[in-house]
Amino acid sequence: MTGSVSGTGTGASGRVRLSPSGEVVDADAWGADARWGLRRTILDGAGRFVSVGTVAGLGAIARFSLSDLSLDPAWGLTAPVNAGPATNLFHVAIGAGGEIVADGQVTRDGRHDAVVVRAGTDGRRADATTVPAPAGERQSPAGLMVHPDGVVSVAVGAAAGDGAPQQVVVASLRPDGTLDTARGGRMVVDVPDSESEYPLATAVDAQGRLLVAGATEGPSGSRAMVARVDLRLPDDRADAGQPGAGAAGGASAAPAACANRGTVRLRVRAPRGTRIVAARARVGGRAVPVRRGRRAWTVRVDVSAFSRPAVTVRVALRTRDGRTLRRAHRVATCR
Amino acid sequence: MRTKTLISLALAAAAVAPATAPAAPGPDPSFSGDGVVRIPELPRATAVAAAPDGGVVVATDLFRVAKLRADGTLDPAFGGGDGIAEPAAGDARFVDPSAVAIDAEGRIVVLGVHNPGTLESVVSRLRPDGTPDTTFGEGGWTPVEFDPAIGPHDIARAWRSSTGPRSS
Repeated sequence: MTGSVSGTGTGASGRVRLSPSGEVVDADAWGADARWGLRRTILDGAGRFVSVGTVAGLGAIARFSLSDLSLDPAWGLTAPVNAGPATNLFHVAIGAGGEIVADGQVTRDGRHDAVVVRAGTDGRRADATTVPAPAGERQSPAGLMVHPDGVVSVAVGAAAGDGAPQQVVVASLRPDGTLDTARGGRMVVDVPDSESEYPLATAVDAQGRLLVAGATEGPSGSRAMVARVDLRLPDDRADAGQPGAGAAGGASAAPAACANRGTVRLRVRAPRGTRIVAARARVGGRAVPVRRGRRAWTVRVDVSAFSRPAVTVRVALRTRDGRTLRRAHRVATCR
Repeated sequence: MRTKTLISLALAAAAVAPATAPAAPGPDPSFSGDGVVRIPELPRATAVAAAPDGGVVVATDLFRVAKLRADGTLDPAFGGGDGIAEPAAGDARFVDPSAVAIDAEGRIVVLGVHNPGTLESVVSRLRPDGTPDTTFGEGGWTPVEFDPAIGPHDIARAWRSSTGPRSS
């Protein structure tokens, strides 16, 4: 187990690795001279971990080797990378294409705006986009997820001004920074009358739904709040898998621990009284091989490359009597 | 490369998947009716993780962990029968659980700060049923000491505690 810890007291950050039995295996601190203040960490599936936070007053994204904590020389000219105008980055997620996305907050001219920062896979460029909001609204992001098509959904605590009641807002931004209306654009989670509600953490479940945790506050006091927001497009819902990586701030996505299967075969038979004359199969839009047999056709799917817990195999058949039959079948990628 | 036959599909004309109208993006109505659960018994939730069974695990102030089922109700099979558990932490008291994660065995790992003023950090682990995992650290928890001014913020994929780092 690897944890990342950070703080602002000394300007140092570090990490500790624990054994399965809870013993400290090793620990390191670094960056005391550079005013590092890293907040959130995610593993990228390639033996590296990515942290976001603040370095010398600027938002920063740093990538490290998991094995020895060394800064990744392939990440930018020097790590961490200045992520632009963000004064602080809070949470990090990794998209399906390996791009690193973070949320953060910019404070300027009395405004507190939430931003989404996208960095390329090499860390040499990072673009920041302000989350659209009504004038004067104070925004504080609580976590984000990346959809398979690159759209980022970020959960934000929003208030009309200082001291105003808060509400939970989920905004979905396309890569060009515009609101994705197909995912509801900028939606507000209903708050009970006379109460205030704010998010503090997010996660993504195995079906790709956004989980938002926080608090509801009102005359009766404070209580825990959990929301589940489904922002999937119809195709995503059909696949119902973990989109890319999508991990969110202060939380973990559903465990991806599995030993992938190798190749899975699905045997496809024709309805009684007819025969298959042609067949094709796709997984995630990609064609997969179909072999013709004497009594059945066989679809071969190599699931070892999929990071999601299950995939959908879509098969289309043409029968001798001219019908086209379609069928979808879920295949677990883990043993 | 290992090959395994999973299933035979006998396709029939009636098996063509029917078209269904997709629901609009937004709060999930299958989760407590309106997509939002508020738990009066618990203070603010500061960390959340998705459970393997479709449920949701949250860590809250006062060092509590709650498990919700996929439909948003508190899981009576978790904790003391009310869906709420209190991880072991010796005489420490969490003030701000900053992260929660679930490992490959379904165990719940919580990271937080205790003893205000010192900002020492603690990692606690629960079994899937919410009882402290006594095989972890000192009866289910372990202190993690750093520079006193450094507070913990995150856990990176606790499931790797079982499998070890791997690359892909």
